[in-house]
Amino acid sequence: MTIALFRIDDRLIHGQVVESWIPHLQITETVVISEEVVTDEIRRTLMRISLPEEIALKIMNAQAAAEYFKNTDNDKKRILVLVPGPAEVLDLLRRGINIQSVNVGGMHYSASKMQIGRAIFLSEEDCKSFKDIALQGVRLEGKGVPSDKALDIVSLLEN
Amino acid sequence: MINVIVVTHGEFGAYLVEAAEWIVGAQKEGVKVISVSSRLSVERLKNILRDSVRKDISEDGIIFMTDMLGGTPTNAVLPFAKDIAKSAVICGININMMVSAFSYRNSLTIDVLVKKILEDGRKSICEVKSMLFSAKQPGGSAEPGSGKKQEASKA
Repeated sequence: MTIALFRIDDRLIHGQVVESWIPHLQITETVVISEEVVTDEIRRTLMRISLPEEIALKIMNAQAAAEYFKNTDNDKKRILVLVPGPAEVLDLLRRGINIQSVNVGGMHYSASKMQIGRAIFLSEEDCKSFKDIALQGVRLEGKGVPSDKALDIVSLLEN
Repeated sequence: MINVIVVTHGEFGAYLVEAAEWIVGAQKEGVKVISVSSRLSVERLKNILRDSVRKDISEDGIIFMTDMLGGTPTNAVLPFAKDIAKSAVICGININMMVSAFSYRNSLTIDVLVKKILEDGRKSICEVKSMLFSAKQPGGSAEPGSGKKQEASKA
């Protein structure tokens, strides 16, 4: 399997993902990592309906995902990994999963968050998590859709 | 690349284009929006359309996307489209159709693109609640089965 994109997006599966990233990267399987969604049947069903039928969907928690990604089968799967926030990225890193680059797609507004991109709003905790992630050698790139100009998240944290 | 001219009542088309660009990325070229309002005389509209058609003609073709069959935008566009061999007028646009046009105008021929836009538009019109809850999903599994998308009737 190839992880074609590892994306933080608090909306998980939505228009930008389905219409832009999946065709752009010729994704064959989407893996959503969220403890919350695993137990939410309505959201799971909605996700299945929103994805094209030919795209496989797996929804799991970080523990199961870490196991899944250790499988190094030489198959032709091209995977899009979706996580709701930086916590899941840190969790996977702690579990020994190697992540080279993370696409920061959507982290939406709530009160007292700082805006660093069109749909990227960060709390103090998010900033701290991103610094931790970057310290482990992971590149953090802000981008809603493939044709957007990439934002270097780490350089924006320091301002 | 196939060019797109969106012609609608008021600013509907402009907002629709903005929303679709948010989903599939900004369209750097080949997309024009014309807003028809009561402040715009039919003569002036015709002039704008004549100019647009001259400037935005593409050898791959041009698609006019309008909001309403029988409305002024559609009616005004038809005489121009009639004289362009590689052109189509698609009315009743919604965001899925816009997204579809933007995503594929680079890679499909005009005939195939027109079919794709119509198909994606029709598929997007549905009553979601009954779609979600009538076909019972296998419960408990963290890996949802391939819940068949119910296709809207191809009227």
